[in-house]
Amino acid sequence: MPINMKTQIVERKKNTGRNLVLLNARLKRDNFFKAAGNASVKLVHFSDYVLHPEKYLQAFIEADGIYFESLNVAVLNCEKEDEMNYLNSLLRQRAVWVTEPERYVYKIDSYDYMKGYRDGVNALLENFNQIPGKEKMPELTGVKRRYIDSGKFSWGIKTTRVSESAFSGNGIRIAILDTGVYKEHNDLKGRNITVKKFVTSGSSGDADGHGSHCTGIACGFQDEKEFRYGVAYKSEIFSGKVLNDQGEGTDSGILAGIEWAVNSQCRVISMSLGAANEAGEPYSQIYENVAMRAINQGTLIIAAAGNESNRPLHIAPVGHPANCPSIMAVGAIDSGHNIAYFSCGGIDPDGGQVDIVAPGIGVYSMINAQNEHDKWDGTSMATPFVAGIAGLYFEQQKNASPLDVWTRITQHAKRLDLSSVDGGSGLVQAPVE
Amino acid sequence: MKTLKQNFIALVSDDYLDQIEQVVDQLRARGFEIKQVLRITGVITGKVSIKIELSELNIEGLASIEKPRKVKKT
Repeated sequence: MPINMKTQIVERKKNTGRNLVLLNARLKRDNFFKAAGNASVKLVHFSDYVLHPEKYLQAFIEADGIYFESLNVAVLNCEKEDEMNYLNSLLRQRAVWVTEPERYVYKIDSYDYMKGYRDGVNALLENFNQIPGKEKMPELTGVKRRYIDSGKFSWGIKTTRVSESAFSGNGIRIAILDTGVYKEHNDLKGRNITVKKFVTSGSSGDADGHGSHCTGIACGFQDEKEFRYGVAYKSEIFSGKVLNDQGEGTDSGILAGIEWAVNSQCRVISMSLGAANEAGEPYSQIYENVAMRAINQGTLIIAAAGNESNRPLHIAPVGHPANCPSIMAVGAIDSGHNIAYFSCGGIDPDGGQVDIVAPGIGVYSMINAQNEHDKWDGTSMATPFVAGIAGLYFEQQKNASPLDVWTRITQHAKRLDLSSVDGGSGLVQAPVE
Repeated sequence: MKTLKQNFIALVSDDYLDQIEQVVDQLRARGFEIKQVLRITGVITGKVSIKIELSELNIEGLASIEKPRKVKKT
């Protein structure tokens, strides 16, 4: 039997039966309390409840109201209105500036409706801006826009302007050092893929799926209908399996993977991996020098800042090896351009800063099964976004050095309403033309 | 009794990048087992007895030596 969906109209109380009273700030507090006593208005101080603020409602039973010292506001039982008028007449200065009824407040349960409405407006704006020949409508200011997945592009592709980019990573080699790649995926058909295993145990493919997801983000996919996810869809894929099938590895394997990628003339190395650091822990001198040597050989290393934060309660420092100054550290944002709750922050003064942020929540990509896709979260997902976009910059300017590309990425980043500790230079943006 | 061993990762200084084998030879002479020699980035990896204090090692051409850390996907 279908459920009879009756519209429930819940009558909500509007006023509490008390008055909010804004008092004259110039009035001396002692004079006010003395006059209140003469007018038979018994008030208590909110500071009397400092140890048990939750019990402040007792003030309306044991007295006529409560006085909030730091706000210069009193809340009085309504029946004391006459007494307050009398109190006013007792004082040379006017005691009360404004009186208004105290209201009940409720949570906004139309949130989902408003969210849907907002997303609808955003989608409309996006569609409008895609009409050829039409002047583009500027983004709304003062309103935080939330990017959404649409039939053609995932939200990350849009907000990083990859969807508008004329570049595809053509001729650029990008290394993904991770759990391997599922080479048989439909989306990789026809792609130039080189794989190398640096772990001793487990499969030679990607039993975990993490490496496949990251590869899909960095090295992208575009079909004949121009449906696109990921970034550099014509790049050459170099997949180094440095993490085992449980997603774990060691520095030795990663350093070997870096050497292989540099030797293979990869312009970019994407490392969605790391180890948590303690605050104040120095960066590895070995990784720092290796990263500088890689840069000298023409290869830029990009690594995940880490997922150890639990915002707003705790911000963990950028992990190893992303905390090396010569490795670009990537933080994660959501589709509303908020920092992801898990994204590590640049709280260590010596190295350890976040350099850039990229989409890291609900990121669409391929996984390790035939024609399967999923949306995953992590600075792991943000890192290959930046790596793929670095590939587009290398394609745009073939002779660019890794430091040129580093500079272009940070200079062209979209400034966000985030602190540099969280967001570095801002949101990575693809070169458009 | 079997000697307990620790893994290490080492970096040669810039001026020894072309002479990394000399550093490898010195490490071997001190009982280090060499697993990898990464010539482009100047990294040597392997194992050595836990009795060797890595931070006190003084070998010409060796810029830095550390214990490798475990890393995981993020």
